[in-house]
Amino acid sequence: MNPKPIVIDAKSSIERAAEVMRANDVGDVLVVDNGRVQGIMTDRDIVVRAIADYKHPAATLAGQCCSEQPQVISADATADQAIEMMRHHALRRLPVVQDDQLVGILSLGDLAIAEDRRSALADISAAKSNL
Amino acid sequence: MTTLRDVMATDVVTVSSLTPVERAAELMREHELGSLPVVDDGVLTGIVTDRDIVVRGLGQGRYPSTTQVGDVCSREVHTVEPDHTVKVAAKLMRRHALRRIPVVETSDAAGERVRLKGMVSIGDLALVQDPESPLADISQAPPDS
Repeated sequence: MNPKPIVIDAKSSIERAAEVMRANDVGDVLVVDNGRVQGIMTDRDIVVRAIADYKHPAATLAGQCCSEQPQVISADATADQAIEMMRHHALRRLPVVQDDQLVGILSLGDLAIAEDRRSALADISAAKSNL
Repeated sequence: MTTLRDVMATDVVTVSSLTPVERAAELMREHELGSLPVVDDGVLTGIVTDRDIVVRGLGQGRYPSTTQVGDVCSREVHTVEPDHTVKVAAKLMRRHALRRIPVVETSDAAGERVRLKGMVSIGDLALVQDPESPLADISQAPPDS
């Protein structure tokens, strides 16, 4: 999993979000509104929810472009449990929490290269590029 | 033995280097794809992903309304050939973290003109190798967005 999830304010523009994704070499950011996690926005979300609609990037807010409040999973859960949750909810990314604190984001790519499906999520290193 | 010719999709959605990025985004959404091969004059010249549009485009101040695919796409494309096995494609996709890979044929001895014959996706391979695999299910599910 990615242990340093990048966070962006819901009122930031998607142009700003794209800059953040580029600067941090990430494919997703957590969108927060007044400290509360509103959802996840991926580079794909920017493409299909804004650009494909011909929206202006400087005038479109991250909060308008992200997915709904995401499912989360515990860092102590196993890769098998994560796979099941992703399958059940048709997700490709899952925020990971420990004691109610956000500790990372797990992607489908991470699981695809995990060698041991019973290993704890915290032990799965991040895939190099997003799938 | 199963070759890629047997499993590849042949109705491939493509763009050209001159296609506006907004149009490429529209196609990606319409066809639920994360990447589009770039074909110019019948030759595969690159590949553009949703990530390219965001990171190479918008993240660098290139607005989708005034940017063309050629400005943001990757010109280095990992490809396979129709007679390759599923195993070859799987290996390449794993190594480079790809969801889809173009299947090409070179149409002259020097390998200069690379023609797109089809696309193979990770879902296609998962179905061939392990039809019951959860990864096959996840790959086949519609994207989150």
